[in-house]
Amino acid sequence: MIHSLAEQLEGTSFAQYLAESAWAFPTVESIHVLFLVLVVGSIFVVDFRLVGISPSHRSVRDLSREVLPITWAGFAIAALSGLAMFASKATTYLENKAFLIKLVLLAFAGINMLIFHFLTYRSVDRWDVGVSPPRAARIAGGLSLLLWTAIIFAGRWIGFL
Amino acid sequence: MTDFVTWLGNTPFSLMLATHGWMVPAIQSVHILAIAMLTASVVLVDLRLLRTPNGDQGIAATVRRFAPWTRGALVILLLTGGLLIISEPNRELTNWLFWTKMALIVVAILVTTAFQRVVRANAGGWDAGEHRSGAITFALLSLTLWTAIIISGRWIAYVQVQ
Repeated sequence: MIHSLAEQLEGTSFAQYLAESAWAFPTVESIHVLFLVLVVGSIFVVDFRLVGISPSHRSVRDLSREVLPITWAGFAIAALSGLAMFASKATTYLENKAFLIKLVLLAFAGINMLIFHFLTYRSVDRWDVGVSPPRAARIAGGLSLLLWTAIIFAGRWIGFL
Repeated sequence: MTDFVTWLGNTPFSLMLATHGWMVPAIQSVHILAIAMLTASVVLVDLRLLRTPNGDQGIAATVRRFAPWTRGALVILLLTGGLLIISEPNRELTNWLFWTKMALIVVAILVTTAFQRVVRANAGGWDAGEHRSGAITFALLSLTLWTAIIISGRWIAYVQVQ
């Protein structure tokens, strides 16, 4: 099922153009890199605060308000450009271990973020400024650092397999 | 230059990096992680400069808060970038786009350092919203430079002349 879907995607004129043109793929790839570094870097800014590397005098709420809109905007563009790159060689990517691992890691990062946002973050008033975040928040931050680091490694490895 | 590239490519260290297939992508991954740190810190400062003040943290404090991120990331980038040159000298040193990227980095570092000094010298004025056009000019210049640096970095792989 997924395979035939990938074949269809690959057969679209957009995907074929990306695969054949000399400049289109590197251009989309450059956009992907430009925005994925923004996504990962901005997530790290929040994670560093959660695990206690950044000083606690900066309010977690203010920091989230400052950083997360950038993260989401960047994620939308990184996801779209990623999808375009996938379309250009969909069936090949489906057989690429690094690509599949990257998808699984992205799912884990998403679950970690959801748990943090809907459970841990609800009590943010109690650890917003000046105190160390609770254990659940520190774990979420640490997991996020690990997962996004692994996502970068997996993404870089796609081209080497 | 060709002699140097050949010599560097035949040093035991370069051969060691090149023969272990996983080393280059691993170093590149760390390089990208440091780019992420640098980009986030640069963009957060530049966006703060572009916004009209609305009770946010002051410009001087924002600059001060993210300066260690930018600096730390640059150190990691220099180290990993150096390793990447040693592992594949011919991919970088004979590539015009690599040298363009290096020149842009020098300009970006000089401009950023100068800006940080200017802000530090008159923190109160910057926080009070003086120098609005200076802030906007620097932010746009900085965003343009770092964007160009990242894009040229990615394209080094595509303009290789072999």
